[in-house]
Amino acid sequence: MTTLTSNGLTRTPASPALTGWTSNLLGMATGFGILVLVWTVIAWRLGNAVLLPAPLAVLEGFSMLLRDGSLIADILASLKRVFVGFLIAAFIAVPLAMLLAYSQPLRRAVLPVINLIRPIPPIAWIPIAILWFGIGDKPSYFITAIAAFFPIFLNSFFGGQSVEDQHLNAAKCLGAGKRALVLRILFPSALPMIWTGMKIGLGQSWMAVVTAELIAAQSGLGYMIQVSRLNLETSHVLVGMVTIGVLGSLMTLMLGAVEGFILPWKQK
Amino acid sequence: MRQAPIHRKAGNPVRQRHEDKSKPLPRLVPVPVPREHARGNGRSGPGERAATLAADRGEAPRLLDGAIDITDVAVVFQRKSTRVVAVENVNVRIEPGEFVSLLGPSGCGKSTLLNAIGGMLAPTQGQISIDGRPVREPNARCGVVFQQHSLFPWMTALDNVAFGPEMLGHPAPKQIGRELLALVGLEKFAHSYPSQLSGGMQQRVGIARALATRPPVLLMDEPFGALDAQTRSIMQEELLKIWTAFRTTVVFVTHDVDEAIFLSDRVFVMRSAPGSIKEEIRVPLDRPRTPEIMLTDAFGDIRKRVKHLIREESLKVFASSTK
Repeated sequence: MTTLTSNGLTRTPASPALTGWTSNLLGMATGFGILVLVWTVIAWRLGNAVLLPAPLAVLEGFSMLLRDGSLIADILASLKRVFVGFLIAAFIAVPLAMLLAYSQPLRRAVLPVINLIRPIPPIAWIPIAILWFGIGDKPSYFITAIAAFFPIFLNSFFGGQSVEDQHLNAAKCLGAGKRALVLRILFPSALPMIWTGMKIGLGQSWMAVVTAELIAAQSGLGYMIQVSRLNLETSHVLVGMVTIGVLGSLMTLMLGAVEGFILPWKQK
Repeated sequence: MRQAPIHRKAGNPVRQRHEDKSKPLPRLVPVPVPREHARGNGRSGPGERAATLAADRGEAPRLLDGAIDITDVAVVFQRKSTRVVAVENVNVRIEPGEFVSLLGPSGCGKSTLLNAIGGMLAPTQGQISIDGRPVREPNARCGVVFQQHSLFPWMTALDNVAFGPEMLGHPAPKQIGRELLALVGLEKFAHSYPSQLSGGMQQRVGIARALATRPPVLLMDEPFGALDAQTRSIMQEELLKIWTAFRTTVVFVTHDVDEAIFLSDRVFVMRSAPGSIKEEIRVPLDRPRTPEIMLTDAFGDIRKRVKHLIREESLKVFASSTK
């Protein structure tokens, strides 16, 4: 079956989805192709593997680190820190945001404190984190939690505040008490915003873990980059950077994929 | 359409006429009764009056709660430095099981009055009580159907309707939800989200949801205002059928003259700025009513009178706005 398009040409209706996919892939391949090409040319013109190793050298470094198992170990160490910190942040930020959105007295007391702490960047917490928790996983949990907390909290809070009076009134007329108002009305109203906050928070956490590991850890991708720099193994530094980029993008993709399960009513 | 109440509760399924007026009225749904319960206003029971009304319509036993007393009510909004009197000097008694409409042009304070009855807004002066108990905040004694977009978008149609019974601690809320959805003809859409339903369907779910807790009073704030004329007419007829089955007191806000007359036992025409009751008009038309009734002379006479009153009001507002 063919359909008539606006410019008078005919095309099969089955193809758009396929064209969508293939053209996406094609576009992506072109983008990465140009990046690798430019990189290769610059590396070749520079001729200095310490300043900028060629993509091929990075690939070699990648396979070497993969074979000796150190890359996997570093990835796992970093992922663990991100997820633990992120979960701590989410479990504190979301309930706190819901309570503050619901209760004005609580909001008046707590919000100014949060606004005061918020502008402090996660990296500024590192010295304190090391003093409190030493070197290792714990300061990194702390830093990743700090990084994820504010985006999650702020989005959840605004989500909770944007609850419609009509929904609250309807729920009260149906016999809902305070607990039900928060859990069954305020929370699901805010859930789209909470989810947005979590996506941003996870990204922030992932960026913060590298910062934390540069200073406060002895494993993980950040630590690996730091050690490779000291050894002038720039190709390994780049392996670390590319891995961070790829894993970060994968996380975003994964969250996008499960969104339909979290917010089923937003599906068309 | 006479329907046995949906609530299980073995033994005594139908709301019985309440003989002993010294005791609180029997309830099928365990509605949390607030403190103010103790201070009844000492009025005489609504029994006799309601019984006559029911007899007028030739109907079977009716529930005997759902009386609304509005005493000297005023609502004043303070906007910056200006005081706006939205509603003043309203004194109305609405009988249990009665269907009344508040009719008037936009901005005449009819919705404000409705919100005050529902406890969503506190009157600045006077008192509103339902079955002798003052209204303080929204609660399950009043079901409310809003104009639109009041269904919980994150719940399916079924979950929306089952929410009230669940909140009131009913053992099988989904069962009630299904039965009420069937009553409004939407059992097939139980698992649809509100965004997947048409405007008319959403309002039917809204009505089912409000009725699921069996409230003695149902407040409807221009519930069909956003629907097209055909859907609207069908919904009005459906509403009357449902009302006959449920016998709840209905306060219906609208600016549509025909709608108000077609549905109501009494129509309160409102005066604007400040809003108050201009005139009360009885609608002595037989029930059950079908849309054909709008073509009768009796209906036409009432319409003429109501339109005249509304026009008077609108002209006054128009004149004062062009001064």
